Amino acid sequence: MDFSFVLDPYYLGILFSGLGMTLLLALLSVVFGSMLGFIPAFMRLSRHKVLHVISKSYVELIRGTPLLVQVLLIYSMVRLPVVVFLGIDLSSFIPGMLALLINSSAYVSEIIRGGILSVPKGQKEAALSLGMNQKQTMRKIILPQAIKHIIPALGNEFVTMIKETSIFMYLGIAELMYAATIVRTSTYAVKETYIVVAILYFMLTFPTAKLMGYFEKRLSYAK
Amino acid sequence: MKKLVSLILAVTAGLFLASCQGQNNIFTYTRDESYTEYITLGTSADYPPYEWPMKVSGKQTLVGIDIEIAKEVAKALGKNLKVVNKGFEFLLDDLENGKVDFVLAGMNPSEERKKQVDFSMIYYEANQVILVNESEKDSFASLESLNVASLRIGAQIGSVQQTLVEEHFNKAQTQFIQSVPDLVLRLSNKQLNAVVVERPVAEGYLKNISGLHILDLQIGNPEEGSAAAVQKGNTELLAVINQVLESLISSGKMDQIIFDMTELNKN
Repeated sequence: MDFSFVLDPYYLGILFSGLGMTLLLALLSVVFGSMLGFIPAFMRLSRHKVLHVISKSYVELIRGTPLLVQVLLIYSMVRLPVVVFLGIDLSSFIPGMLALLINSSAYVSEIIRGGILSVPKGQKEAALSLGMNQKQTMRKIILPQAIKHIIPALGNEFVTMIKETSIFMYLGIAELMYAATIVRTSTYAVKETYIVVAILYFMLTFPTAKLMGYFEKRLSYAK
Repeated sequence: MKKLVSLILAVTAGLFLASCQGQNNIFTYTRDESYTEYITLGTSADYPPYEWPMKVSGKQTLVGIDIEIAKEVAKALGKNLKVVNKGFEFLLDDLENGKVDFVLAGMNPSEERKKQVDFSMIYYEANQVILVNESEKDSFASLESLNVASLRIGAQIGSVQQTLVEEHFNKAQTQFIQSVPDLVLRLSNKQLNAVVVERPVAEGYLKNISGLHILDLQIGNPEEGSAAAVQKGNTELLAVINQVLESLISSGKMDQIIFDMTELNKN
């Protein structure tokens, strides 16, 4: 085994900018996925049968198919010319991001729904009996309590997303796995590259998971 | 909560800038400062000596036989060159969808592919060879000795080598995956007994990884080789590419390119 490439700043640079891209993709997908995730979550909680069914089938469909299939499908449907923006090839970044957002929104919507349902029914009844309307109840009573359950679970989703983004290597988005293929081909050190990349992924996911555990504790004190 | 949001925003912005300055999958080659237009080449840079990533004067770029040819094509058109690096099986779809103008990726013009795109003349006739472990080379004296159910043979998925493996080794176990480096890794780990690749590619691995051996067996039709692909019906570009290839071959420059790139890959 020859790990000498780890000491070469050129290869390190490639790997670390790949790491940055991975983190960026995961962050964007969780942040915007959470915003989008509210839509199916509320649709599913609503009393309208149609909205409920639409949202339920959306979530089940997305959760029941692999991300790889979704990415490839969306990539083949979204036809964009090659445009470079700030050094990123948008023709593969946009379809890739879109697929990730759709995927993330389905998972996050379940997290949000779970968070909202975890708030005891008495809270809603009390708020309504105090004369608040539905909207006020949701915004001022239910959501602030639900957030405490949502945030830690979002952290786990973030960790999952960091790992899932490795799929984008196929589209040529320069994330960590793509960086690995570059290093692998240049150095002929295939096994060693994979070991280093595994360590880098772990360096990202382990502290994130720990950090989320800490947040969870903090938030549970505030109850 | 506001702190958290602003933290996330700050981190995102920072990462965005950081990763933009890093590498990406698009490489530009300026042929002449006066050219304003770009022609886009699609390739899959894990196939030395055809194309692979390399550090040239401190910057990451793609080099290889195909890149050199593409540069010549760009020059003949009076355009600068832009190269997009993707997975091999995306290349023809990208070409069909107009994401790239032409594809050079050590690609063999098979009948199936000809239905999808148009091919230029063959610019490089490459033999297909069988790469095995040095320790096992004596047990494989003929193609038949490899066609045994206890053996596992690999090739790149979607390649002509895959077709060859399916034709010749119908009894053996087969494994088709996307990346050639992974195939060779599995070969040297003894998870595969043989890998079918093109000779120049195999020689690159032979130089860089010890314990491998190229079998002295004939497989496939040596007339076959690599060609450039363009969108169906794009005869204009095809004519230019053919012209460039012809002049490269007749002037002997092609042999020089192939020699240089094979040498470059050996270090």
